[in-house]
Amino acid sequence: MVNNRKVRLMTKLAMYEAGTGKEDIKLNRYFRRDYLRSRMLNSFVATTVGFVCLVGLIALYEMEYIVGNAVSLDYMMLLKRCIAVYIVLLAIDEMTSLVYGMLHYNRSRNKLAKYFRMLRRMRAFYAEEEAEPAGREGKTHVK
Amino acid sequence: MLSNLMAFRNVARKAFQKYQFIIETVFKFIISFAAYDRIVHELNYNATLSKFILKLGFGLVGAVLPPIITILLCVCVALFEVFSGSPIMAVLCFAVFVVLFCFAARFSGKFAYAIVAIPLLVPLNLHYIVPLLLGMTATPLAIFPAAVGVITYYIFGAVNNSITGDKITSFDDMLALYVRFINDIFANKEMFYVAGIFAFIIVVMWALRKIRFDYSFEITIAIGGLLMVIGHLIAGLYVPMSISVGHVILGSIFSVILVYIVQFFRIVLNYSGCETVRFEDDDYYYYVQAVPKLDKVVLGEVVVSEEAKEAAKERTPKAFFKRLAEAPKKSLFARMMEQSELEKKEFEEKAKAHDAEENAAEDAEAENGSPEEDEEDPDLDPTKMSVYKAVFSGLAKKRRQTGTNTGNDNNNDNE
Repeated sequence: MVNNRKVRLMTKLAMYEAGTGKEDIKLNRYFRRDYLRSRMLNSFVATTVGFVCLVGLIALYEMEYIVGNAVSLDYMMLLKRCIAVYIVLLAIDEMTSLVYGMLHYNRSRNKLAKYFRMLRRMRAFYAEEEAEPAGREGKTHVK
Repeated sequence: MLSNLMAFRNVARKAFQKYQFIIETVFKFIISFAAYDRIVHELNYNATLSKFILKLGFGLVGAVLPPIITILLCVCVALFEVFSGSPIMAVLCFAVFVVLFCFAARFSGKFAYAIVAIPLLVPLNLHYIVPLLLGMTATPLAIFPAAVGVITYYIFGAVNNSITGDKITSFDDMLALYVRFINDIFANKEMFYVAGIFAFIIVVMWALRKIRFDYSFEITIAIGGLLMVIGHLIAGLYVPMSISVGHVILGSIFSVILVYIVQFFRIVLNYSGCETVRFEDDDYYYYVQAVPKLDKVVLGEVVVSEEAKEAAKERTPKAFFKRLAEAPKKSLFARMMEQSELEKKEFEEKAKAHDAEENAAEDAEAENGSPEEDEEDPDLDPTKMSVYKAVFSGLAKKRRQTGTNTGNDNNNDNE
């Protein structure tokens, strides 16, 4: 016979899994440190690609000046400035990713805690179902 | 009046529940279709892309794809249009879009639609709705999609100014085209001012939204609209704006009204979607449609609980000013911190009460002859998702087959 309470609980679980829980469950595969690392790696790649494109665009814009002063340009100083700007941008981006990732992860864990509480209740239902035939046959339920 | 409004709200909610999938799909179709039409209209370099059948096809594809993919397709269409006008310009635009994506657009997430919405709504003079909506719904990170949307709109203008139809035969020609393009973008101070105003409004509205006071939503939206007008007026003192003050005021008023309507329906419809879920246990397959319960509102009659009445008394302007006068003078930040602390405590109390209720229910079950209470199990650790499978399918079956029941078999079954 269909157990209404169990169906309600399973429905809640299924709805969570199909909706907001999808991302939470995916995220739960990672330890916090690994998740934050992956986010920071993504940020690093995006910032590096973006910075290379930006430097390329600026160089193209200043091409006339660069070609005109190709001999007298202080390339070492330019390189140092580029690296300094890159480090600052990277630091800002990484910090943003870190803080945002941490908040996101913690929020997701809180939601998952509720989900696991429901799963625990689900287990109780199964234990109850198992206990019923055992009780009828006069067996003791061993935990 | 209130009862009529509530009745209308219920009718709208029911209609949305019934036709949720259709409404969402149609909405996405309209957005995709309009975005494609706008791109083709703005960058009209390829007559083939202007065919109605292609617009329709793009709309249909956009109706079934996630927002971020639709945005990427829009960028592809825009680049293809530019490519038809000037291949070199398309490469430069691509590089600019990559920079925008890497530094700003990747933070958009589910608010990626804002990037398309701003260029789309500018001809209707309703683009002011975007920062107002983002301020009401999003976090401060939404300043990135809003800024990218503004920049994208002005990039369209710069592309049109730069592509003159002259053939590019040498590197010098290409360089001149590129310099003209970049100068057009950066010489346009209006773009920076508009992006700044939008960002400021989003942050201010977000901060106001976080503070709990009477009519907070209504006041926040009104302040957002006011800031929009004042911001454009101030910007107009420093740079010549392409939009007149009258247009800004009219657009802001319409946007505020629309945001009010959207906000009303958002509160109504946010939790009301019908969910169809499928799952199974050892004995059955379940196909369940979960329909959320409506408020205790009947047509023409509003049922208000005693608690709600008490809360309403506390929310009158008189009570608000009384509290304000009684409250010690503190900075906005200190108040916000205090507010968050209060909310945290409230949440903890609710969680404790909920746990106590659950424990009481479990105790009652145990007393009535139900199985012993579950012990704290190591497999309930959130990091071990395998417990899910065990609970739903494997565990009970295996227990029956083996006839044993050990406290730690979940791990063994699933590892």
